[in-house]
Amino acid sequence: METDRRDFIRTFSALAAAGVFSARMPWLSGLYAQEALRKVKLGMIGVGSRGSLLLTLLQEVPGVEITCFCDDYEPNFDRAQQMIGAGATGYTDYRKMLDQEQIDGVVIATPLDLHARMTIDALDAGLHVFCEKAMAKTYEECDLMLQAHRRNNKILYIGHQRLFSARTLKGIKEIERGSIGDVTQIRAYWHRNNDWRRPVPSPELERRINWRLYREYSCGLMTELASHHLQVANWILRENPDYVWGSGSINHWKDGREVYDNVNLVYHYPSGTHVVYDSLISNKKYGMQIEVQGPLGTIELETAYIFKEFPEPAPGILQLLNNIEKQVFDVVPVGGPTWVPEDPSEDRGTYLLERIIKSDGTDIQMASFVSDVRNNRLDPWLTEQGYSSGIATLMGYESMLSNRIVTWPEGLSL
Amino acid sequence: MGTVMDLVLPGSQDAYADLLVKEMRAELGRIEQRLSVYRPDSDISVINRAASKGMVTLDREMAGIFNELFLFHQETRGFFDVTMKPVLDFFLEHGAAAGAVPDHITGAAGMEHLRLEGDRIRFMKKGMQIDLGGYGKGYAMRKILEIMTSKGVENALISFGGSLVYGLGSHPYGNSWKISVPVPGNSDGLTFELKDETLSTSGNSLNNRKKFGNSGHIVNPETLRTREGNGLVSVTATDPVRAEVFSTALFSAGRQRAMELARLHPDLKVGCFFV
Repeated sequence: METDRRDFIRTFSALAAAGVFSARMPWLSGLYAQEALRKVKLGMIGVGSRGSLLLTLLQEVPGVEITCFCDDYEPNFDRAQQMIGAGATGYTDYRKMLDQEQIDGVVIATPLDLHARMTIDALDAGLHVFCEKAMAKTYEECDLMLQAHRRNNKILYIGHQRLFSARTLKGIKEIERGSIGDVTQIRAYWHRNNDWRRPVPSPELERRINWRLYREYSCGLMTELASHHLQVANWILRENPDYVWGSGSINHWKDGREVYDNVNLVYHYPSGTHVVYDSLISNKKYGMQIEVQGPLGTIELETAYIFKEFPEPAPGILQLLNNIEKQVFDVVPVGGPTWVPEDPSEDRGTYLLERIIKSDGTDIQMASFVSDVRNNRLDPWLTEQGYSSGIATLMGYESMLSNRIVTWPEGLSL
Repeated sequence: MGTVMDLVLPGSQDAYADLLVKEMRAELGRIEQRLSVYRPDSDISVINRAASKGMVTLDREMAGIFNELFLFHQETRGFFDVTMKPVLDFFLEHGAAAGAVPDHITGAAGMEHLRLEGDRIRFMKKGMQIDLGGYGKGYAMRKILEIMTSKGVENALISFGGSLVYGLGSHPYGNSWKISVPVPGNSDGLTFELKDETLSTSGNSLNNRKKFGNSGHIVNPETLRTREGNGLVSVTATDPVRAEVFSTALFSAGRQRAMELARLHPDLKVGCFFV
């Protein structure tokens, strides 16, 4: 498995270097260089379910040393110690870790309400930061994080792994090539059918463990799921939404949770394009998808399939067009018994990549973060993607809570 | 019509081509609404429902079409016949190996049971159905050509799914349009040079087998069986309808009868391939 992943990262880097992805994806350039592997020393803040996955992925990236970690929940702490080994120092207070450890950067995977404080403290301590999505819980926190990144001139990644997913990258390149024409609508959804709870060993731990269900710590489906798709939408449209209206409710999981179990939103962008988004956790038939629609076709980004609105010309006709361009007069095989075109409505789509790629980009993202830390390479646009997604996510949340249209907040740094 | 139209218009401005295509699209839509049996509300579907109950009055265009159907029926010695749909439906449902076609189906097949009196039509047998496959695309091509000519287009290649191709004028770097029809075992295929001419091809191919299965999709009006196996007939003629009617009729007739029939019409260029 480990070797597989390393191979994949190498393959991916080679693809990126060979220009398989778009020239408008400069953040991938960090992966090109097969630089001498100076050890990068990282610390983990938060090693729960997501944090321990990131830890596993980091341990598979060449040239990384996890020298310390922090978690104030004992089972997480013990598991991390076991995963990393005795060589790493464990902390229950992240500030102590920042004070005492000589590291290049930190990886933060804590509940949403802690992101801003921890990220800003780490950046101010002169460290590079990877922080899980969504960026933060309020507009102000997002803005303070962006300012700290700029002020300290340190890397700030927000965990939007689709920026590093081969499927998304290839799909977006296809969109940029004009394969579906101008993007006229994006429809995205994320549907699951479960209570979204984690097992709680004793009742007093409920709010700590199921922090995603309480407004004090989380904005629910918006920050934990929708932020990914909003990031991709902002990326595709190369602009940020100017207003949004939405509606949410708790209509199925009435178990004391405070965040909505279904959300429905329409984002408007300055170009006139809309992103229609919904998410629920009481039906999983449609799963998750980002459908990018244009007059010439549809691209389903999560699976990297393209569906054309119109059938391609018959092969002989293409040959004829090529001949005319080259000023060649020759026989072309145009004739034959009725050629039955594929009916576009029955089109099962064309896979955009040459081979099946299962990675959602998280592994590549971690490798890229390590590489950027090693080379002290900052990509402001990458941070701004996390920022604009964070703001858009919170706009949608605010719209649902207040039952009114919410515009892009004034006075932000971006 | 269940096909795609490809149009190659050398050297024309995009905006002009767009206008032309817009007009063509409207005309094709109109024809489809008149002639397609796949649309329950088309004029031909209305006739199929009403003409066994009594005389149906046809408008001028439809009366002209029915007159022409009878002329081609005679000219092809009955091998062009638009009433074979119930027989074809039987084979599509039961497969090529199906036994005898029931009498009520065979009895209702044949244009001799179709009575045209001036501008009125009536089915003389219950269960009769008209299907203008083998005619409709030719008719549509004719109308497309009228649009092109009226707009002063001199050179173009128009293809309806490859089975009907019209070479208007010539290729920009030649004096005609050179078209081939691929056939197994012959790398050049059947080749034709079209200059203001249509090439129509009828037959069974791998591609249309996807749609029609192994039973073939053209019925021989004499034997009332579908033509099975690989094979095709290509015919060129100035008039697209004539080319389409004859390629269908010659394919349905089988090799021997096709050659006899082709000899009677020296204006047609015929290429064929039978397994």
